Amino acid sequence: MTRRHRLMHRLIWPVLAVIVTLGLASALVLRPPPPNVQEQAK
Amino acid sequence: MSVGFRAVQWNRDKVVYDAILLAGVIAFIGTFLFVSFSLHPAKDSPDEIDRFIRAFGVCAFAMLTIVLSIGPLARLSPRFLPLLYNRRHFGVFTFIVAALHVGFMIEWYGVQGNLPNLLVELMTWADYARFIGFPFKALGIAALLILFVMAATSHDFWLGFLTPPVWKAIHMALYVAYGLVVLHVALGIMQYDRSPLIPAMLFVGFGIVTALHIAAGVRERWRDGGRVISPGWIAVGPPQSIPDKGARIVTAPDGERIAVFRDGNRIGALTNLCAHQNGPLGEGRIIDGCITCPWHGYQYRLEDGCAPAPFTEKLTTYRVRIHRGFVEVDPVPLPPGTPAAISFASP
Ligand code: HEM
Ligand code: FES
Repeated sequence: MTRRHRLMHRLIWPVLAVIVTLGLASALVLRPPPPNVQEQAK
Repeated sequence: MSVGFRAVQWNRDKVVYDAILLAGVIAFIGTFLFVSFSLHPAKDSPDEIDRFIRAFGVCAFAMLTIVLSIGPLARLSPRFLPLLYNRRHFGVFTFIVAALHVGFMIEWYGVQGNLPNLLVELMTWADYARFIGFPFKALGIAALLILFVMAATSHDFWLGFLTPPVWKAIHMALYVAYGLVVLHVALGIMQYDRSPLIPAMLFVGFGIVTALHIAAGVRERWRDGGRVISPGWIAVGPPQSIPDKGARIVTAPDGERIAVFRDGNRIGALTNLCAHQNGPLGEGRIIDGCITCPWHGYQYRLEDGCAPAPFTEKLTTYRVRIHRGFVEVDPVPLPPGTPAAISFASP
């Protein structure tokens, strides 16, 4: 890796990693409950 | 490597590598389908196709995880270098498996005669403003496009045409593809299917890739030695501190890395960047009198950084000297191919 390339890499990848982690975590937290749970709640 | 276009160069190692890869893919998908149909026999034809979509999707995800782990693994331990040697074929295979995943998905719509629904789904623009309910297939399409560009430009012809830095930068997009795939699954099948295996697969895969990159990065920082003592020269250490037929890597004040090699009582310094794909030359060894890149085996002479005939690559060299028993490097680069190695009197 050249120096410029390494610098870009160091800056960009943590940002991407944080976006994906947050996306994955919120997709898990926000997913709708399965149908049978909804029925039990009623 | 300058004589224009050449077809993929096949040799026995590559064929063996590809054979192992293909066997692995078939075994993985076969096992997946066998377990899936044993646990829950298919209800109807779409259900059957669904299992194929999943088998190929999970396989492509696993392959992408491996492809992205090969780089940092090879930096952490030379044991993994054989994987790197033919990483590009691995990438092309990954694209093919992902394309088959999409092929089965199209068939799934096809057998039910509602192919137009696929387009309707993708063109319901309001859904793009949602998070849960986002058209996850569009994320898959974006990832597949990236995989396609990677596979199509994987050949050395493109490497030469685009130049290694540009080619490498383009290949960084593979990380973007990985992120897109994680979200493709998280916003897609994970929303309907409550199996804990799906989030587990995503967290484990993504966790492995991230952890390996952090580990390789930390190690590199730690290794970046090289103190500037006398103005302009970087101290490397006593000659014997450089392993025979190996190198020590130092960092110039501008951040560029320099590999200082020793072959018996000869010492020479060159850029750490291989002319092929910018592989870490200083992690290679001197084999048959030539510095040999650990990635794909390109060779260079210690004397002047030139590849032996018939090859024409030339690397930047650096001046070296022995000063008060220390090897020192002048970080000002010399024109590629300039002879700069020295001999020292053995103690
Ligand atoms: C044109 C692009 C793509 C489309 C339209 C697409 C479509 C789909 C669909 C419809 C599903 C849900 C399957 C089901 O209902 O069982 C799915 C799941 C999945 N896809 Fe894709 N996909 C695409 C690209 C990709 C790529 C490039 C990858 C990986 C490299 C991938 C990996 C996966 C995985 C891992 C799953 C989850 C399978 C499971 O755990 O059950 N997809 N995809
Ligand atoms: S990077 Fe391919 S041989 Fe050096």
